[in-house]
Amino acid sequence: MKNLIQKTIDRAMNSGADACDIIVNSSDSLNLSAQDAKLEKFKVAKTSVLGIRVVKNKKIGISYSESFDDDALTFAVKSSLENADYSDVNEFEDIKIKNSSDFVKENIEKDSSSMEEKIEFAMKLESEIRKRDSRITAVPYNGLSVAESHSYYMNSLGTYTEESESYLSGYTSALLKEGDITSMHYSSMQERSLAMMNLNQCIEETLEHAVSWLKAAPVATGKYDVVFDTNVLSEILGAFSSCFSAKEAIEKTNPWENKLQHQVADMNFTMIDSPLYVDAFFKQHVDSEGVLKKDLTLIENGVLKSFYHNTATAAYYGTTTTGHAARGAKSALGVSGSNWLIKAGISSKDEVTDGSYLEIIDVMGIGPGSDSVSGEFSFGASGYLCKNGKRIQPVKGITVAGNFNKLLNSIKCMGKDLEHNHSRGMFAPLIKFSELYVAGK
Amino acid sequence: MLLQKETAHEVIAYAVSLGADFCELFIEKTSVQSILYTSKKIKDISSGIDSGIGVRLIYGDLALYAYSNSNKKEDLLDMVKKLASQFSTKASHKSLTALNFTPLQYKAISALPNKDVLLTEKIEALKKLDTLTRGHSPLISQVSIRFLQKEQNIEIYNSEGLHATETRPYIRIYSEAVAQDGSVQATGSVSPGRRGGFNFIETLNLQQAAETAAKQALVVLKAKPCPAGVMPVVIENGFGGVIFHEACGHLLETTSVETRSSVLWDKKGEMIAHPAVSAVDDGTNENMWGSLSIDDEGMPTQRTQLIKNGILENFICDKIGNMKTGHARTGSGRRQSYRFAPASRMRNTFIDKGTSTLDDMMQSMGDGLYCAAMGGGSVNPGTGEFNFSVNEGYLVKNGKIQNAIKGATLIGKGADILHKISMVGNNLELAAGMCGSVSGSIPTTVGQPVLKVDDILVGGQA
Repeated sequence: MKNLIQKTIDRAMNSGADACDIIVNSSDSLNLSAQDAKLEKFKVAKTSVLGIRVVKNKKIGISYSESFDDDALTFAVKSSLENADYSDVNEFEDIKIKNSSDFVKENIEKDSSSMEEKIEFAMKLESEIRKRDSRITAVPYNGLSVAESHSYYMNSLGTYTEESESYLSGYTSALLKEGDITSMHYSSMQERSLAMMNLNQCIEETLEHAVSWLKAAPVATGKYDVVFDTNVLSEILGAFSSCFSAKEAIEKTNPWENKLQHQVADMNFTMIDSPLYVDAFFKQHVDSEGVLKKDLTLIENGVLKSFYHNTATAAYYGTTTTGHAARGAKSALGVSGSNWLIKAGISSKDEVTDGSYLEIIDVMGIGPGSDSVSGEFSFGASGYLCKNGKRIQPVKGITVAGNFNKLLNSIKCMGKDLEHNHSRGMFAPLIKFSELYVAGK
Repeated sequence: MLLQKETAHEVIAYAVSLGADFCELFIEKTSVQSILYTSKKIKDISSGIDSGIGVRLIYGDLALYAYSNSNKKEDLLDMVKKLASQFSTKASHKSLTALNFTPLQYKAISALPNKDVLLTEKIEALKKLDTLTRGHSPLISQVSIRFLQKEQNIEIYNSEGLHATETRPYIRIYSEAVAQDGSVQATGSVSPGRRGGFNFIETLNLQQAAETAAKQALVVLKAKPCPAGVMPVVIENGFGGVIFHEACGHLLETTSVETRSSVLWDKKGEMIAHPAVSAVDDGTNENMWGSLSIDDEGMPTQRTQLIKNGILENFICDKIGNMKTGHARTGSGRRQSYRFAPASRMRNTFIDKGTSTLDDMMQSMGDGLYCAAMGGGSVNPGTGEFNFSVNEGYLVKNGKIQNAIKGATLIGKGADILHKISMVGNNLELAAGMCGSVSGSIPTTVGQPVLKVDDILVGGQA
C-alpha cells in the first residue's frame, strides 16, 4: 500500500501540485443477524478508498477513488488538480507536517473463534433473550459484527503513518407487548474477541428497561432535576461538540467563538479530550495530518481552555495544532475529538441521588432536536422518576428541553466515581443537572 | 455495460451450482461532485467515483451479501465461494439453465436535463445565492452553501434472467443562513433537490430560496421559548410530511413488518388513520428527488396507495419482504450503494391533498401551535414512538398566529397520531430529504398539504 500511495503522490507532484497528501481507508467486515432462531443475514465486505488532497498556488483540491487501477488513480489526481484551480486562495491550509520517522501502530487481536461459533453466538443472543420473557413479541435488532480497519496517511514531505484496528460488536433488542402497551430497548457491546463478549449482561440490560417501561407513564409537565445515563450524556455532548471546533469558530458557527479563557461551565466541571485514555476502547495515536495525538484540556474548572485545532485553524489563530485534524478519504480537512473524560467530583453516589430527580436512560432525536448554533435542545426521553436513589416510576412519553450553555452551568453535584458509555469512549461521573424543562402529561 | 454478460452469467451459475436459490449482482459506478461555499469563499471542491459490486445470494429465506470494489471475475467468484461455503451442501447443488439476459424494457421516469457547464457557472450560482441571502438583512452573519451533483449508474443481473440498467442523476443545494444579534445566534435553512442535472439550478428561484433560509433564521433569532404541553398543532405543507414519513412510512416497510416489529404489521384492511387521511408512496413522479425508473432489484417502480380514507391498503415491499410476508412487491427495494443489500424503502411519500384550508384549521383550533417549517425526526418502528423538531413555529391564540417560538419538539406514537389528523388541506407540496435506515442513506421525498393534528405533546422550555 505504501508504494501505491507514494507513486500516486509522485504523480500529483509531477502534474503540478505544490504539495499533496493521501489517506487510504480500507476495511474487512462480517455482519451476522439472527431472527426466529435462524440466521437471517450474513454479510461480508472488503473495501478501500483513496483520497487525495493537493495544494496548488495556495488553493486546495480534493478527490477520491474506490478503484486503485492506474486509470482511476490518474483520473483522481487530475480531478484534484482541476478542483484546486477553481477553489479560492486559502491562506491558512497547507501540507506541512514533516515527521522524522514513520509511525505504524497495529491494534489487531486476531479473534480465534470460528465462523460456526460466531453464528452460534448471534443465534444464542436471540434465543436466550426470547426465553427470558414471554411478552417478547420480536427481537428487531440482533446480531454480531466483526471489523478490521486500516488507515494510511502519507504526504509529499515524507510523513507516513499507519493505524490498524480490529474488534467485534454484539447487539440485541426486545420488543415487548402487554395488552395494547408496547416497550422496546436495545443494548450493544464491543470487545476484541468473541470470548470476551458478555452475552448475559447485554441481555439483562436490554430487558431491565424494556420490561420496566411496560409500566411507564409520562410525568407531569414541569421542571425536574435530571441525571443522564453516560450514553445519553455522551450523545448530548456530541450534539454540541462544535463548541470545541476552531473550524466552526472561524466560520462563525461556534457559539463559543469568543469564549476562550472565559467561564462556560460550572467551576467544578473539567473536560479532557484523551485519545490514549487507558480505559478507552479505541485509542487514536495520530490525526489525519500525521500529527501524534495527546491529551487536550478543553474545559478546566469551567473555563474554556482550548479548541480542537488542525494546522490550518492553528495558522489562522497563530497557534499550534492540537493534533485533532480530521479528514476521511472522501472529505475535506476538519477537526474532531476522540475520547472524552469528565473529571470526577467529590460527591458520593448517595449525595448525587439524594432527593427527587429524573434518571434519563434513553433519548430520541437528539440530532434534529439540538441546535448547535443557538444551544437549544429538546428531545424525547425515557427513564425513571427516582427518589433518594430508588426508581419509583418508569417514565416514557416525555421531552427534556434546555439550552446547552445553561446546562453546563446548572450542575448540582458530581459523583466521585467514573462511569463509561457502551463504546468506552466517554468517561464521566454521575452528574445531577438542576431544573430542566420536562413536558409530559 | 458495467459488467460483461458472460462474467455475470459465470458468477451466477457458480452461485446456483453451490445451491443458492437466487443470486443477484448489483454493479454501480457513481460520479460525485461537491462544492462548499462558506464565508464568501469556495472552501472545498471535491469529486470522486464510487465503484463496486454487491453480490446477494438467497438460501431459503436466508439472505447472504458480499461486496467489493473489484469487478474482476476471480474476485466475484471468490466472494460467492466465501458466502456459500457456510450454507452450501452437496445435496443442494443445482445447475443453471442458460440465461439470455435480455435488457429489461421499462418506462423511464423523466429527469431534469443536465446542461453541460463549467465549474465556474456552478460557483456563480452559489455566490448569487449567498449574496441574495446576506442581502435579506444585516443580521445575517454567515451563509454556508453545499452543492451536490451526482450520477449513479447501476446494472443488475439475477438468476431469474433479469438484466436491467439505469442512470440516475441527482442535484441538490443545501443552504444555511446564520442570523446574529449580539451573542444570540439562530439558523435557517433550505435544501431543494431534484432527479436531474444543472438545469434544475437554472430554473430554481434563488431569490425565494434565499428568503426562506434568511427569514427562518431571523424569525428564530427573535423567537421566545416554546411552552410545553399537549396542544393542537397545524403543520404546513412540504417538509411537514416528514411526520408521516417517520410516524407511519417506516412502519409500513416490510423490513419492519417481516419481523413483526412494526405496530402496523397485521393491520392491512383496517382503519389505521382518520378518514381524512389518504397516503401514497410513489416512485414515478417526474423529476422528483425520490423517483426511480427501476428499484435496486430491477423492478419498475409504481405508485403505491398506502392508506385510502384511513384504511391501510398496501405495504412498501421488496423481494425479501414478499417472500416473508406474502405482500406484493412494489418496486421499493432500495439501497444507498453497492455496499448495502436492498431493503424495502420509501420513495416519494406523501399525504394526499384534502379539502380544508389553513383558515379553516386556524378557526377550529383555538389555542395551539402553527409549525411553518419542520426539521428532522426519528421513529422506533416497534413501538411507533416518534419525535420531530420544529424549525419555525408560532403560537396560536384564538385562531390567530402570534409570536414565534423556538426549541419545540413534537413527540407521540404513530398509531395514535394518524387518528388525530382531523383536517387535511388542499395545497400538497413535496420536499427533498435523505432517509437513513437499514440499507443506508437514500434520497426520498416527503410531502403533505397543510394539516391539523387535534392534540400532540409539544416539548419546550416554558
